[in-house]
Amino acid sequence: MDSHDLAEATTGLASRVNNLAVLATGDDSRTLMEQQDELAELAMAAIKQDLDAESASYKSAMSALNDATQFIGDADKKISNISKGISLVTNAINAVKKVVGA
Amino acid sequence: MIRSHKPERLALLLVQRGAALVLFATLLLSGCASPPIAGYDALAKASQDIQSGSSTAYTNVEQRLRDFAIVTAPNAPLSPDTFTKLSVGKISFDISPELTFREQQMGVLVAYTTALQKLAGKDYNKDLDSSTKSLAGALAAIAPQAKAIVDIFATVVDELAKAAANRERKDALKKVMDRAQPAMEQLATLIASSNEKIAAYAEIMRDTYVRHANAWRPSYGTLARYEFDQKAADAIDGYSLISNQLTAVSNAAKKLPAAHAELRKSLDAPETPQEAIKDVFAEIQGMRGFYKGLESK
Repeated sequence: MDSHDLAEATTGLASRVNNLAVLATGDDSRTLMEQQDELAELAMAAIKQDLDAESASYKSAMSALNDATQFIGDADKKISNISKGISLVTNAINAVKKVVGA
Repeated sequence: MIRSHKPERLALLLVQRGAALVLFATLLLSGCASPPIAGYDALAKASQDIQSGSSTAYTNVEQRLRDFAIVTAPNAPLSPDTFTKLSVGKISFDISPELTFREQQMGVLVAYTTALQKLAGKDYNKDLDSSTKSLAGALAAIAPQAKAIVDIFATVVDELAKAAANRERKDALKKVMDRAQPAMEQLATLIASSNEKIAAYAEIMRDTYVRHANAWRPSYGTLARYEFDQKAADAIDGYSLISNQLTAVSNAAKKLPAAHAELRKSLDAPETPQEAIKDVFAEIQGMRGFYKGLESK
């Protein structure tokens, strides 16, 4: 049974205890109420563990998106280099200009 | 023997030699229409909305968690940690760290779609304009008599550079979006799966609240009953809004991969209709309604 099934089973049990608590009075009622609270907390703890179990999958998806974001940064630099290339040609022309004395 | 060239002949030679290359390259680069920028803007905005919608719902879950601690406080003297100890025995049921983790992951999604948006919409032409003007200036200085030819040459270089930048941009977008598509699909499934669990968690808190409220509810026909029920109605509404908000976020997130795939497709087929992103925004409209409701609680 995984933590998801455990959470559902615990919630189901809490619901049945509730049916019992409705019929009870006095100390029995109070005890059943406390047991229901404990069952609710256990079900919530099971959901927490279930969420934790997903973390590895999240990290894998996010790692792929982080790589993609990095790639975009690299592409941006590459495209900007076209402009730099033109500037370098301009510099070369200016250098030649000095040599030929234009 | 190396022939010497006069400056104006040098400029003319540059133009002649470059002409064939320019023609060939222009043909190669034809058809490089700009990417659909509005689509990328919408994708980034949708991701931000999904992140903010999730944050609002998570914050409300955390606030209800405190209420839960108060409602279920044991029949024992108060201690400093009575309302902060969220554990049953040694087992914690505090999902705040799990919610924080998910918020951080949403930040990665937003960073990715924002980077896509910037790459698709960045004005590389501004830099190129400045570079080609400098180039034209340099050439004109070499060959002032051939100004008309130099101007044409600079214009062609400018157009060519812009086409090259656009092609590079499209190639980069294609590569990165192909790479990210599986992650987008995995993420949408994870968000929906997590939200279902978080909604179940909130439901347990709601049921616990209702159970306790029934035990304390004042007698029928009294002012105390009326006032109590007003507070109870607000509290129960708050739980329902969390659940609805999480469902709306999941629905929007589930449609995000299709919108991403559609944008990618439009890079090859610009006539591709942008329908999926409209679907995402239809879900987000619903989410905003719940968002307002949660903020007023």
